[in-house]
Amino acid sequence: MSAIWSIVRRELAGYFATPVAYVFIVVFLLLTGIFTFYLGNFFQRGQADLLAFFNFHPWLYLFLVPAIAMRLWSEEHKAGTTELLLTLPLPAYAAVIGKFLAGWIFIGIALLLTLPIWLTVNWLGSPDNGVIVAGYLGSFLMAGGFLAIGACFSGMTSNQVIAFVLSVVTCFLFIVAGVPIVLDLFTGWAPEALVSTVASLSFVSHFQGIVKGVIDLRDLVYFASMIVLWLIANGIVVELRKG
Amino acid sequence: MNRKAYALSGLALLVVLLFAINILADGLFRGARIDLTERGLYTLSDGTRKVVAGLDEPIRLRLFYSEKLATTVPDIRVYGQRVRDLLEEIASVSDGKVQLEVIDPEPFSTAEDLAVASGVRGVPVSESGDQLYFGLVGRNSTDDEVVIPFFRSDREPFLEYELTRAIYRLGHPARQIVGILTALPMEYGPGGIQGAMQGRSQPYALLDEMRDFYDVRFLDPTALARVPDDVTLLLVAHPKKFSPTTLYAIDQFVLGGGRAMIFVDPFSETELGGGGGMMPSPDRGSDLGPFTEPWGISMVTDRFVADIGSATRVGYNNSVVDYVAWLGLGEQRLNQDIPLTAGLGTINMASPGALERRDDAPMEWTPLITSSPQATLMETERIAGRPEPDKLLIGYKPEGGARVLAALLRGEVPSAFPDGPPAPEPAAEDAGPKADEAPAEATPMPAPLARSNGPVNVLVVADSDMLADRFWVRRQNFMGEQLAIPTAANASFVINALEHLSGSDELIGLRSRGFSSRPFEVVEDIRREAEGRYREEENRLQLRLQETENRIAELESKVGGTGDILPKGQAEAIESFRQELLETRRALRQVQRDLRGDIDALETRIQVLNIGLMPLLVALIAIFIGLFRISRRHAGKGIRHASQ
Repeated sequence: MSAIWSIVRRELAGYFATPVAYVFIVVFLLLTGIFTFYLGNFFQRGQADLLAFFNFHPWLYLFLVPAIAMRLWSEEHKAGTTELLLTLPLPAYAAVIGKFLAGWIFIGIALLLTLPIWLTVNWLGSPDNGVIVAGYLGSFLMAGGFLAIGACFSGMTSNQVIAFVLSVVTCFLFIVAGVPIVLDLFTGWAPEALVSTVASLSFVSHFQGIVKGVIDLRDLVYFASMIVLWLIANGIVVELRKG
Repeated sequence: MNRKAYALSGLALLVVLLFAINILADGLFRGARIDLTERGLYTLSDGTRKVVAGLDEPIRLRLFYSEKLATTVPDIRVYGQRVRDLLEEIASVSDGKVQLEVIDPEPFSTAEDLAVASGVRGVPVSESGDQLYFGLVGRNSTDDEVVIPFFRSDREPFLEYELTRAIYRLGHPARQIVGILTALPMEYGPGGIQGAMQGRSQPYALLDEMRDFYDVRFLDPTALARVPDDVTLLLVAHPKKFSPTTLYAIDQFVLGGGRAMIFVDPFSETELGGGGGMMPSPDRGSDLGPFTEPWGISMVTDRFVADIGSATRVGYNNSVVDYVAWLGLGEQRLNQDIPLTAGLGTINMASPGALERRDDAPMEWTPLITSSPQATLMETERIAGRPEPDKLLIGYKPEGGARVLAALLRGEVPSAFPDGPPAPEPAAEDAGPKADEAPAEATPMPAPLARSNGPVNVLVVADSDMLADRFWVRRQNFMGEQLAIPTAANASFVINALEHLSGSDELIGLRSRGFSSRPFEVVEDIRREAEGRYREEENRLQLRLQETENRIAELESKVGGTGDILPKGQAEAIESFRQELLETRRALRQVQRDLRGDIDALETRIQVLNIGLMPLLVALIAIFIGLFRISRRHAGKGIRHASQ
């Protein structure tokens, strides 16, 4: 446990040592604001809730989370410090979990900094704060899913760009799996069970369930399984690279 | 190589696991969830679950919802999602008994034809006249149909109730029979039976309304031994001089789980005064009689609720005065938390009584209609003769706060006849022509019930005049046909009440959920405030307009009808008035612009703060930390230099 935490601390300190972290947070906050007010029609909707805010999170994360994730391992691979890290008296899984947690906490911090929008809706009207809490929780879980995917691809290659592109494509597939246009491609020939299974693997459908204010155990299982399994995959590919 | 093969098979295993876990969870954890919404919007109440679980046959629900068109109407979109979620939730707990089909009836599609044919109503939303549909058609296996033509978002608090009621009705399609026991001339009108025999029969218009939904059967209040088995609802109006056996029959009916609606009255203005010139009886009240004690509910006798806050205006001695004995009870006086009375409109009552509940009463009560807090109690003697509305106002003093005029009662109660049935009356054999049903002696009397089996549901109203036509309906001749035009919601109240009582116990227990729409109150306030200003401005304009017109008319009348050209001075005056008019209109437009302007300014401020503030802060912190580090590095170098 302490091994994991020492890695988390080292990683987090690494984030804030360069301006990259701040740039990331600023970009994230600007984009959420712009999406909420312009694309989400926050005022035109006239409703004291944060749907306009949360609805764009999957698409925001699609690019921002892989951007964070790409350097998790690729950087170490390139600098050749992966072996060093893995020869430390730490179990291999500690490095995997520690790096992931550091990234997740970092996203959590960025998410926390969006609190002004919460204050705003509370000032403008009387929103259902239970729903908003659920929304934040769902958003955070979804970010974890994206991050685990990104971490795995980052572990595969020493090229950050390749890691980024691969994770964006994969995340995109996991987003659109629930979109009717994609499902229509399957409905013609695939069995009903396969279609519904594909749909059920979509980030968006699980996220939207939570954003409504209902925390379904199935949604939790989905996000947990996504995170855990992609991290195991991450461990396997890192092990493999060690050769 | 071996390691690689291991790793690859490991990865493949993970993919399989991902599918397996989620498919398994989907089957295992259905319904395991926490509803974080404030009012439990996604948690079905037990009542709904029980109604759905009690279904014997499958029910098909078709939701016609123009989802694509609704994206342009935010109000409907929000509510549409809510309706859809709730229906899906109901379907998911029904074990397949409720089948939901969501149809988007796009313009000029066969789905649209189907919607129209099923009785779902379209609302034009776009300039091209595209119709938006948002209704529900439910059908059971015997093709009984229940239609909700359009989901109105102002009924949202009762959405679950209305959906559950629709499902309940489909599950129990048989028409119910309402038995009526009354001392009022409901069946033949004010002329009584004599009038009816002379061809002047004028039954209460309420009966027509009731017959749209129920079978109505009059029972004989003077000689009823027991309520027939097929009667499931009992309407008791003005139970005056009912025989003990009749009261016993009511008692046993209620204890056995029958639903009753009872109208009592401290002073009936509509009971038969004997018709043919007989003096009205001095005692014109009725009360809960033997039920007062066991139920713990009573009505104050010989005194009626006078209410200056709800008084209707009546013409009297060539002027219009408040008549405190006749009440028009609007939205604020009706319980808005339960579907029965919410959004009903105004209910008229005439000299109603005050209901009271004993503290230890076994009946819980939900007041449905209350007087205003300015009410007081008055002796019925004061209105017994020719009513003099102005006299009632002399020395009027509010006392005792708001009075309950109608209430839903629910609880487990003992019999009002603990010693068993009263002795039968000898008069039973000359049961009049009112007795429609077969004599009760034919079937053996069931064993008397001493207590209710489970909670009973009764609705008590402390006024019976509200049923009479003259308090809620205007009759009009239209092309030789009599049309009844309601002027108050009295009949809707009775129908709603019967509907409410006829549902299952679970359905009666369903309560309002509140609205899920949450507007920006601050913005609304600004708008209201600005609109107030706008209206003031508008009124001023109207006044000026009026004045100007008057002056112009005045000037013109001076000139007379000669058609001459106006004298120069007057023409100038008119011109200046016109100028004034234009000026005011301009000011008005400015106010309108300002109204939007205040809101726009607020929105811009919020937008800038939300988008810009945090990023700016973060950037500042980053710069600050950066500078701090640089300075520290310099300082470190300095130290190193010094040590060398």
